[in-house]
Amino acid sequence: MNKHTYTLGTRRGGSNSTSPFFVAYPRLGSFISKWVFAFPVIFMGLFFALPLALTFVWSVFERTMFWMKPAFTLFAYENFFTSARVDNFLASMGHSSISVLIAFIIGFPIAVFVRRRVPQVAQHRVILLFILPFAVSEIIRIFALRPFLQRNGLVNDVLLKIGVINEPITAILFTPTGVIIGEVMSFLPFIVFSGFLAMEAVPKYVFEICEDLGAGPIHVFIDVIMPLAAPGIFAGSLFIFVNGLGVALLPNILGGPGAVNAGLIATQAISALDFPLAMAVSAIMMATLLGLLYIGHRLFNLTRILTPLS
Amino acid sequence: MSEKNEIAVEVKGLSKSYGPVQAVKSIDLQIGMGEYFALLGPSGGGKTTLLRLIGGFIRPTEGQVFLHNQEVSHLPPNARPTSMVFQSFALFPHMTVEQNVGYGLRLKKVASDEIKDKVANMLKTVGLDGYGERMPHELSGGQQQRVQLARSFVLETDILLLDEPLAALDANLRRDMCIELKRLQEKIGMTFIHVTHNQEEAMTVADNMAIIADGSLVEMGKSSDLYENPIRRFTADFIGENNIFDGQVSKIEDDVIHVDLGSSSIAVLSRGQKTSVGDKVSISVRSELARAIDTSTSSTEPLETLSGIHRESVYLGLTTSELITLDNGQEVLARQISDRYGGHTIANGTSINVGWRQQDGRLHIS
Repeated sequence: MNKHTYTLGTRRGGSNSTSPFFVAYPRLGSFISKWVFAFPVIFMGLFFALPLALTFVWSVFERTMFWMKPAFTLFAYENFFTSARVDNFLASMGHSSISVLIAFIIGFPIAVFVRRRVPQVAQHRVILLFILPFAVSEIIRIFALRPFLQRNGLVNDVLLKIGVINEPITAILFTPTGVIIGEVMSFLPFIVFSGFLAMEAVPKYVFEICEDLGAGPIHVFIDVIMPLAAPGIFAGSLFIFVNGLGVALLPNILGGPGAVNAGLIATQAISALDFPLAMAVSAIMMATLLGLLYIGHRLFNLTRILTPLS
Repeated sequence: MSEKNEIAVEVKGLSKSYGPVQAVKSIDLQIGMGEYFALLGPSGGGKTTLLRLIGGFIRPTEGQVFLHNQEVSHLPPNARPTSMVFQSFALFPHMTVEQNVGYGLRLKKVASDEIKDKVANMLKTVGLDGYGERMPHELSGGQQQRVQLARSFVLETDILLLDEPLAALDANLRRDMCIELKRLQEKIGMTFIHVTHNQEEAMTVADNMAIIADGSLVEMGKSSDLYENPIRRFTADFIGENNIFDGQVSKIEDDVIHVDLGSSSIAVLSRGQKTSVGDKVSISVRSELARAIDTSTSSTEPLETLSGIHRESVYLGLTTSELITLDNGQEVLARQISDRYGGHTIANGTSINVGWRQQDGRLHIS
């Protein structure tokens, strides 16, 4: 191992035509080649895992006027579970689930279609199209739905004009429905991406076997695609579900009284300077995520996502 | 193994084009019931396309496919009396062997007890008794192909299409599987159509075969005929190890055709082929029928000979090949059983003749 890094370092240093820097500092080259893969780990540990772990710790701290002080109290949890917050949290889980379902129904067939019908060389370009929305700020994207969905918005105008409805539909904005529309629009690309990756685990020949045996599209989907693509589908769905719970922007802009998700509860708690409550909400959200990940891993072995079928 | 007069597969004027590319060019073909038929040809020659046209995986641009005298050109694969064994180990990776084999029956809504029985029987037939609970990735390549066979057999269709079924296996296993396939085919009595680019594989399994190249049917016949008496030059070039000489007809004496090869002239039997003086023709001689003859020894029987220089002897175990360069620069191979005892060796660079009996040369007019 040591010898290997040494030769790597000297080889870099030795290639004097290309990198005179490493000629001057051969030991630096060796140091970098040794630690370059450790940097991301250290970074993620320091700035991601540690703060998240501390969330659990801070959630049992005691609230003070403007901050919090070390203690062990479950007051924040009690506050959460005995107020309307828990109802909102559970309701937002329901809304998220509906979003996942709709996004899957719309998005997964797109992924299957791209895999099956688009020529291999063009597949990645087509998938790239779904990244384009991310070039626009999320706030703008979501806010743009308002003039579209509002009482005198485009949807209502058109429906009124063609006489489908007599009075504007108000249920599609500032309601859970509005949030669900926003979630589907925001997160649809993720189910397309994950579905596209998941289809990698479905070898092309299985469709020929199905054709040979006479399996119709429904059988192909239930008996073959679903079991093989399950890890990828689960990962994409989980991503949408968790974001539906956590992204405060969506209920903030599109939601109303009955559409508050965990992210918005935490944001509101921070506004009210109740930091332990915000931490508790985050901790509960994280526990939910970890629980779902565990179940998913037990069911589908999620490590399969990144290993193409050999 | 059943009566050969009944026709299982017939294709008429079958063509398939992909844009400007013609993958299959107006092929006519008949395959008898219960026959083991091989489609042999170089890669990219259209044999797999032909097989898929027969199976219904692709639709013909022109022409018709008849299975048991019924036109099926418009039918999907599952509505045809065919089933397919695919090239790479094409099994459902998430199902056990038993589920893989039984899936087709499940789709046909066969009762699960019956499926279980049939699958168990079929696994026994293909020699996988007791493997029902295994997953495909726990099986060797040969075993996976047996599962594919069982999956097809269990449906009781009567034409089996095999698309390079042994291509992914190593040479030894391939040889064993060839014999196994042949044995199973005789036992079950299905019509097998086997696509391969490996002539040894085709020779081992097939009763009859067709050479497919460049989208066209080159030649069709009994495996031994194609080896011993190929009509077309391409067949001689493709099957076996043949020396091929191109030339012009210089003289015709009854059924003996004299062909001018430039520096020398060779006589060959016409085998009923019509030629006239001046035609461009070819002569092929199998390497095992060509002999390297010392210029000093006089031959006891009349031989057609060409003179050249001995390049080298290549010892191949069972046989030894002599590589000879003719006066016109063409290379010729003469091969005989290696002789451990008193086999004389020819020094490289010595002048030598290569010769064969007149009846061992074969005339090709196309």
